[in-house]
Amino acid sequence: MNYYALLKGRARALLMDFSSLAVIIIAVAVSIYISKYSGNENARGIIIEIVNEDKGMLGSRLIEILSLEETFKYNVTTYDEAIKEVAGNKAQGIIEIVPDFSEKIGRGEYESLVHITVMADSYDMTTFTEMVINDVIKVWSEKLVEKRIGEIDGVGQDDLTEFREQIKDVWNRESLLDVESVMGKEEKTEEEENYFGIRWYAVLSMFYLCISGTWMCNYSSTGLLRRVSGQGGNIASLFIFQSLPGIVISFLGFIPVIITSGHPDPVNVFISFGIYICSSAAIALIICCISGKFSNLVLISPVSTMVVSLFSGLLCELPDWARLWDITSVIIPGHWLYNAIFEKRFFLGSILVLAGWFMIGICISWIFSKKKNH
Amino acid sequence: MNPFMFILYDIKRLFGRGKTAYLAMLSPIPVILMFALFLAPVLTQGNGVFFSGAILNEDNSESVEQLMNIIVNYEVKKGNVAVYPVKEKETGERMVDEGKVAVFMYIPPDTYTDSMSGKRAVMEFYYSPSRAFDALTFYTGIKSSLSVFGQGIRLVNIAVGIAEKLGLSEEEIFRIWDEGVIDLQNVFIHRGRVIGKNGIFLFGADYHFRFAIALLFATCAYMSSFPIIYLTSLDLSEIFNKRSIPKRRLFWYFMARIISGAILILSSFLIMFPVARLLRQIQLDFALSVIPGIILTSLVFSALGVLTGSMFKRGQSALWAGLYFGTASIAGVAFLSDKTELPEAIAFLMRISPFRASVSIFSNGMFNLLVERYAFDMFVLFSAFVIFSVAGFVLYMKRSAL
Repeated sequence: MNYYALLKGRARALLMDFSSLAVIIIAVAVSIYISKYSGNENARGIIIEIVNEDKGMLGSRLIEILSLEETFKYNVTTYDEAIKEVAGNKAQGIIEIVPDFSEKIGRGEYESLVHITVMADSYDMTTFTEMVINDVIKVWSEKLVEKRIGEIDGVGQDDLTEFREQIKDVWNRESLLDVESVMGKEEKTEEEENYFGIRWYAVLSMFYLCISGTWMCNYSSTGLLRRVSGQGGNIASLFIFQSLPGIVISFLGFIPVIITSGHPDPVNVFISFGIYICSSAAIALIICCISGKFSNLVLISPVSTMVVSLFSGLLCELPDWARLWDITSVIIPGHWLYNAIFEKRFFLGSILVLAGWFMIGICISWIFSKKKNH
Repeated sequence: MNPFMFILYDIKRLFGRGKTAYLAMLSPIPVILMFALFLAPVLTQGNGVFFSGAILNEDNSESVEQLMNIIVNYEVKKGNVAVYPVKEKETGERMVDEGKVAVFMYIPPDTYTDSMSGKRAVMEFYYSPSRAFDALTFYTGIKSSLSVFGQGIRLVNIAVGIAEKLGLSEEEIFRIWDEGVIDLQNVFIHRGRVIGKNGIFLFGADYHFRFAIALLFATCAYMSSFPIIYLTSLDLSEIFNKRSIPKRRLFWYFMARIISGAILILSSFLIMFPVARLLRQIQLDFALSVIPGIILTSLVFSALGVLTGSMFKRGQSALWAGLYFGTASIAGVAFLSDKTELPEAIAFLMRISPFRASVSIFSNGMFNLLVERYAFDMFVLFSAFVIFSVAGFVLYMKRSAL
């Protein structure tokens, strides 16, 4: 079996086929973009429709106070228009001020002063209801205190006007009663940089290697596996030579990613990525052998890539309480790449993991080839 | 072969011996684990957000004690909070660090007198990083409402200033002061009632959970369309490209693929849907209202899968295109769909995105059904289904040797 010829054929196919190259080019571009812009804040300003049916003046005062909130943008409109906007996903919530809002507050009643409709299509909506309640409370408090002032003997219209003037900016001022949050002792140091560009590129590379093994599945047109098995070839060696061009391309694609990430120790991360990508190829071999059928492979590949990347912390940070996950993830190559990225010890662990996955891959492919020969 | 046989045949091809369907059914589990990783404290505690907290009140005033009782007692009664009073600040902080409680609230001496005399008083909310997600949700609620209370004191101060200017007796001024503060406390106790709800805090604190569940539904459904993308691309390159198939027959192949694909995607909901209902005790009528949305979502993603598969000659390229499109759509819905400062074209694309419509149906249909939004989202999904199907069939015909 001429594995070298297979390697050459595969490398030529990868380099000549633009769509294969495009996959890795896009992965590089996306990773660089993440590296450069992951710190930028998203645009804010969720639109909320306000329907003011209040017959008195306090509804307008509530709108004034609401307008001071910066997280949301308000649009005063009719009920029908508000429903239309929310239905069409142009707004995310409705505040409906009831017709007797002023009257109720004047009487000291507090039941259902506003009706709120919320579309839970955003994480930011979590604070929306609390904010509306607080703003209604502000109007209510103003009215209560004004009422108390009105009860003072000898108070005149001038005093009430003065009070109204003074309260205009009271809600913009610092609160006299405040709470400050203090985070408890952290068991691991907070990383200033998250290096999501490098981490996500590693995830995409692993998926790339897994999905590149579709030629091992039943529906493949090339029938390569059948031919090699027929000639008594070794499936593991075949997989290695078939994957090698993909590994090299992923490795080359990593160069611009690491350069643009601004990592202080690129050499170590580069070495670690090399070991990681080889280990990922071994995992890919196992996945391809187990899948058998291509439709299984295309389902298992994204799910298993997501799982191992998640457990190793590459996809996103593991919460501190998930210690067990963190400990068990030492058997996953991504764990050691993560360590290398955050300048922790990685070399021995990653080599052992590579050796382990490689041995498992060889064993499973041997069983797989026996099964094929049967 | 009759149309029904086409579908059966294609299901057999797509599902294999059922292994693919089982995989599709089980595929949400790792994704559920991922979400559970961040939402576990919320998921495991029914509808509320549960905290065990320590408290140290070094302010001996009656008013602060009353205020804290108002806040804490209601949440304790509801089972949202378990409170352990401590005698030293270090003890409370240590309890948080050792994971015995999630939060520690510290009220320093003279909190009441400072705030009442116009000096800013600051309490401390010490929380465990491992419970940061829900602790900060609680913190946001308590901070904003207490801040309003604190700002309200400024109003009473203004009233007292007017009373002093009018030359009222000290006794009278104290009376105005006390009544003003009591008024504020009353307002504070009933803050939930202004929107017709009981309780003091945590209104809408689970919206992020609703959104996460909906994203999970749509993401898993989309991931289940990967076999459809790959098989379609392969069929068009290897089978239909080499044989001449009549248009009518090709149409039935096409429809059979969409239907079998939709059935495969539906299987991914088989576990997710009951799990979601169980976790959040979703009302039956709301839960049932989502079923048409689930069916239409499956059909749309299946048609999209066939369209993507028809666009590319190589199965892998089609798969990658599907992956990138899916990732961009998920990211768009997760981070952009509610934003207003977007270019008009992107905002419009977000509005008509079938992925967004699908997420919206799940997040809103399951929890508080706004019929108008539901109808709009169903319309978006149906339109997307028609467009993807027509475009897919045109490409299907173009790529096959008619």
